[in-house]
Amino acid sequence: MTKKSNFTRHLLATAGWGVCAGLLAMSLPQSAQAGQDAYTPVTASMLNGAQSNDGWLMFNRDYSGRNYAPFTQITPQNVSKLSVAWTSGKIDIPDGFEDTPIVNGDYMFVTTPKDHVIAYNAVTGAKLWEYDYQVPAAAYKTVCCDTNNRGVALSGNLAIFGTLDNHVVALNAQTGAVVWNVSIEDPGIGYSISEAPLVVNGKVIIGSGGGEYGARGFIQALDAQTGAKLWKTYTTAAPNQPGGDTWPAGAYKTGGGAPWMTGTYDPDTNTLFWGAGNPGPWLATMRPGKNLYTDSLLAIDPDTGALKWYYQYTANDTWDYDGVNTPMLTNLTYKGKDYKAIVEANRNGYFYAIDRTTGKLIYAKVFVHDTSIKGIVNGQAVGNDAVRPALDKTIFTCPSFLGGKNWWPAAVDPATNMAYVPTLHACMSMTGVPVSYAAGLPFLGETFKMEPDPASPGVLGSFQAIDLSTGKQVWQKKTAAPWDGGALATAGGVVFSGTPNGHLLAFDGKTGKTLWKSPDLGSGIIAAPISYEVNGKQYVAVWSGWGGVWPIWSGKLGAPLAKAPRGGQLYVFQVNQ
Amino acid sequence: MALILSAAGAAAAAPPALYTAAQSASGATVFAQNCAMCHGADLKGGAGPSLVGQSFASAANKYTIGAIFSEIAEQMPAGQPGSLTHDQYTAALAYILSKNGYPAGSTALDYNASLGSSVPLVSQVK
Repeated sequence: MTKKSNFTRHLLATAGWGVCAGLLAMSLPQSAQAGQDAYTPVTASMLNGAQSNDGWLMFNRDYSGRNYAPFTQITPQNVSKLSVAWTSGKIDIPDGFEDTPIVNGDYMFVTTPKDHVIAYNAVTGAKLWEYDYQVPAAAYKTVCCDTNNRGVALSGNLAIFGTLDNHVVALNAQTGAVVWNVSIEDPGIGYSISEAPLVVNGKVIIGSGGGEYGARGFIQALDAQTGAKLWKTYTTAAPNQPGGDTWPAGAYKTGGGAPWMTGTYDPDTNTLFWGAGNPGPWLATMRPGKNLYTDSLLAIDPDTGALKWYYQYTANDTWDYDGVNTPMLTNLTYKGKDYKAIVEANRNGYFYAIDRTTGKLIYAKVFVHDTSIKGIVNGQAVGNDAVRPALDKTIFTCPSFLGGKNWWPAAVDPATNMAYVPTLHACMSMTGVPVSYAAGLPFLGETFKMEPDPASPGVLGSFQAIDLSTGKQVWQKKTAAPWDGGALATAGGVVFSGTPNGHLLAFDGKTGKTLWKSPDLGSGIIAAPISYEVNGKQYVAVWSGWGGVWPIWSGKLGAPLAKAPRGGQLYVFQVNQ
Repeated sequence: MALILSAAGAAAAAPPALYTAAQSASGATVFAQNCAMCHGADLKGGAGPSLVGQSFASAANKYTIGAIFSEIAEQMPAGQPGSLTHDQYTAALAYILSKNGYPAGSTALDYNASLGSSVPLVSQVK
């Protein structure tokens, strides 16, 4: 008998999951197909209209990235009646579940840590198929922050995902059979993929991880039908490119800038927006200059990969303030003027509004205690030189290297004109240490420790609403635990987000009043909730499954959650009338 | 003694005793507090690579104690490389060896000797 993964053993052991465990991408048993609608191929026009689709067609629901669902059945008045419609059953992988489920019609596609993919009936939870990707051992050498996979993208009849060993794989959405499988980098040398791809105009767009290993970040476009490689854009500028003079000789080759979170897209201007991560090594004294295009928002032509413009959030970063948080497209009014904007709650502790037609700053307002950035001058954050580490120089500053907000998707509700931002309150000490580059080894040049924030004793997390017209906080829920999960806004006026203690919470989007708290879902929530409708009924879904970056990197601040229960379980809720 | 050593060297099935039971016992605590968050409480990996079995150290890898220990002592823990004491690093190595089928003995692992050791490290765990 061949050795089976924990995942497969779990499937074999779980009653009621059908008979198709243990083999890759088995075809459906007849009984599971009964009641399943014919699959609707996902066209470019469906993706352009994803905001009004009944499903949840891409990572941030639609190209705007707002994580805003237009459904109104679940309201502040009835949300307390939410009950479990179905669950996946416990999936016995002890790593963080960061997947956003993707729904098309009554098909739901999810991923788990270690790059497994499962399809369910979105109404009943019946498992349609599973695909048990085999990650080679070499890949685990260079993942920084758990074995997470954040989800699939849909195109035509395909469900497409990236892997920790840098493959992009397309499965037949109805059967789970592999249609194409393309390697875009070798495993073990620094790169990994955790983000969900984005499909734009028949192209699969996906970015690399590896900023802690000096891996030179890139965004890759593939033909969605065949997997053929179309263009590849690096996120650090070579000497012959604009910005190439912002690096010491050769440093761009190990300069990081990993674009490790799914970007967004503006169909009106045919522009992709993707964030680039921290420079490598962390210790900035080793790479004087702005280090373009690390910690930057990149506006890219999806047809060619050409850079249209950039906005750098943090120049010559030495604090690990990646610029990868979702650039959310929304219209706003600031000081009496209307803008087509991008808003982004940055790791450096500032909430940014940027004109998405020009790349010029509209405003940036601090949303968490911040000593690293002194303020905004001439449209740019000004770093505080007093808290920059150097060899044998230890500094203390806020926010921590996990940022004022980490990767968890925020949400924007156009009706309340607010952004909903999961927030971390922590600081850090850092000391510069010598480092030299070696492929596949950490490339940091700093030792670091998380520390409590003296400005918020006893508080590690909060969930806050920010007024888009001012950049100022409207309401905030503070917690002793870190806020470590994504946000969902809905047209019914209810905002959802989960906690490390395993509860999904519902807030009144206007006031912040807590309307509902789920039962303990068995493990902490780090994923983002979604909402969808099938046959006219609204559902809310979220993964529990503690893990991810906090338990690995939080040091002594993580002690209260060090023994938190592990294992994933997808919960789908409905309102019983 | 010489006879035992040569026998151990000749027969791959009998790995040498390189550490004491006290070191591996202390190493279990060091590992739990500093390594398990990435490498897993069972050493089977997570955010960091597996440190047990053939996925860690097969004969084909041709690892030595010195190569692996240098990586541990100079690069780990990833957030705080070099932050543990010499005794903690040797204890962690002792614990990893114990989980890979290496027996405890009467001679303690020495920090400096381990850094330069050319003794092969091949997991006995299949």
